[in-house]
Amino acid sequence: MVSLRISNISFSFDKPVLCGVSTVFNGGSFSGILGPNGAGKSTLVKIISRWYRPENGDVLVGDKSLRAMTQKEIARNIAVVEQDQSFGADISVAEMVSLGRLPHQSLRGEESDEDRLQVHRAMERTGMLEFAGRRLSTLSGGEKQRVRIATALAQDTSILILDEPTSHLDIKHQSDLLNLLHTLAHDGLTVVAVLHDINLAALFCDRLIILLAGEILTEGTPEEVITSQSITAAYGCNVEVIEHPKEKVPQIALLRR
Amino acid sequence: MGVIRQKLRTRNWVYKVLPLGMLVVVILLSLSIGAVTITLDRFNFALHQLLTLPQAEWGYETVIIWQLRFPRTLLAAAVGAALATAGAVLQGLLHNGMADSHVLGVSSGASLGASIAMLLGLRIGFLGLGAITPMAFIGSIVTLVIVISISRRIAGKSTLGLLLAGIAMSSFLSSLVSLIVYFSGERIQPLVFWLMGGFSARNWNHFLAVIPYLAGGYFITYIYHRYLTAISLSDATAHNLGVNVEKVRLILLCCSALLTAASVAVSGGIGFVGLMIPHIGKIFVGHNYRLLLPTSALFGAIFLVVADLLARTIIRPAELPVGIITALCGGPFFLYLLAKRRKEIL
Repeated sequence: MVSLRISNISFSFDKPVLCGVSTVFNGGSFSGILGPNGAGKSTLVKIISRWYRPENGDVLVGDKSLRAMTQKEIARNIAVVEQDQSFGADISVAEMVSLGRLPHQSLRGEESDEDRLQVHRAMERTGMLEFAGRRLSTLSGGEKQRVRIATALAQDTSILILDEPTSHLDIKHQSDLLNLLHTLAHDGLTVVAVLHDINLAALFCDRLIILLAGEILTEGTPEEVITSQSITAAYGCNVEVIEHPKEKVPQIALLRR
Repeated sequence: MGVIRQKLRTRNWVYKVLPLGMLVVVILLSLSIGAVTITLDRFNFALHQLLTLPQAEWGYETVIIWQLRFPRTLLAAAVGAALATAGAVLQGLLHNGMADSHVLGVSSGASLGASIAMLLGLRIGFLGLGAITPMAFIGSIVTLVIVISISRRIAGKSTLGLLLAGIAMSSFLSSLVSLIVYFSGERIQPLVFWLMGGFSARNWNHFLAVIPYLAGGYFITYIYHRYLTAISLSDATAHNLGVNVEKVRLILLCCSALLTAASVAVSGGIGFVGLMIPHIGKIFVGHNYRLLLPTSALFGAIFLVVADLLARTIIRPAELPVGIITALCGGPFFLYLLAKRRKEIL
């Protein structure tokens, strides 16, 4: 199991977006990143994927810095499903998921049996096998999201990062996806997801982080993080924290002003 | 239309066998039809002569086929394949279905480079075309970089910005070429002849001079087909899949500039092939560049061989510049694409 270590990351555009963020995502755990809009969640994902280079600090996969890795090496270790990636080209689902094997192939290398196996497994796990021959343009928003996740799974990495993966999904597919991520984490994958739904995050994640204005407001288990004080401090709204009747995890109930 | 597309895509033989067969047929037609029409039995006789007799003993039909029509037809096929490939690459790299060497002014940049080479008499080198193709390449790559930089700086990734920057650059470069023509004095005749575009009087030397550039450009492009498919989805997708997007983009832009430059150096400015053909290819095989690149190349070859055939037969024994035929097809197609994409453009 491989951990992902964020060490003192700072990044700014015109103004600071992330200020000295440090945390560790342990191997075999499902971590959720929460926070209001503009807190720096997506920027953190882009720094982990090396789309942005941090001004200070480092990201380490196990003991190895991303700075010492090529983009291909990074993609063999970290799979990223970004928020609302649109597809500029219309290829089939199977072709799209096969691209997940790119980091494992040489420039002129052909698809190996291992590649085909991983692609098949990824489509199977996300329920996309029956869609294999369909064009991306014919899929619903939720189906497209599942294709993105299948592509990331086909990368066969030890770390999976997702930015708002449930945003296009109905409640059934949200539940299916989060259960899948939970299972993957318990199979040894390091799963980190930016989530907007605090209750879903508390229900499925082993560990939560709340980002606020580029800094970590609080982190820990859902019981430690989901308190009325932390939610009010982060989001500026009043909530009552209650216990899930069956799963015994904290859930929030929004209060009127 | 959607159902037809789906059926076409699922029938592998359609895009593997049919275009190859069509290319062979149009090449044979191009070899037999022209100012002098060669009937099937005379064609067979000429082929027999070609294979069995020394050159000095060939009849006039064999000479016409081998020395005039064969190199010209193969050149048209190679240039059609190259321009269609360059268009497909640009459309994928720039995420823009309106991109094409001609529309973006890359062909005009190549024309300027080639015109300067001709004006200065830089004909030394491989088969007498040595300096023209490299100069055309420099012109095209510089133009491409300028157009993309200007449009991204002014209008981000908008289609309209790219088109306007391309059109403005193309007009500017064309006026520079006109200036060169104006001041070229006694060298004006070959320059004007070349600028009209087409394959008239092209011979084996022309074909052999550009084929290494065209084959090299296509080969390198094809090696990168999976990365190109990933980039065509989105830069972020390709990046997350381990593609060094900036490096691959640079390599592929250079390849498309090389394909355009070599085509322009040997046949002048022939527009719209790179705009139209990839769209037709996408109808048959979708957007996966593993299939789209060879399909576009084949369709481009077929299209330009047919266009050249029309150019030299419509008013025979005189000839039309082949660029007129491609523009007659490409202009309306361009307007059709504009109308279809008006929402994303405006």
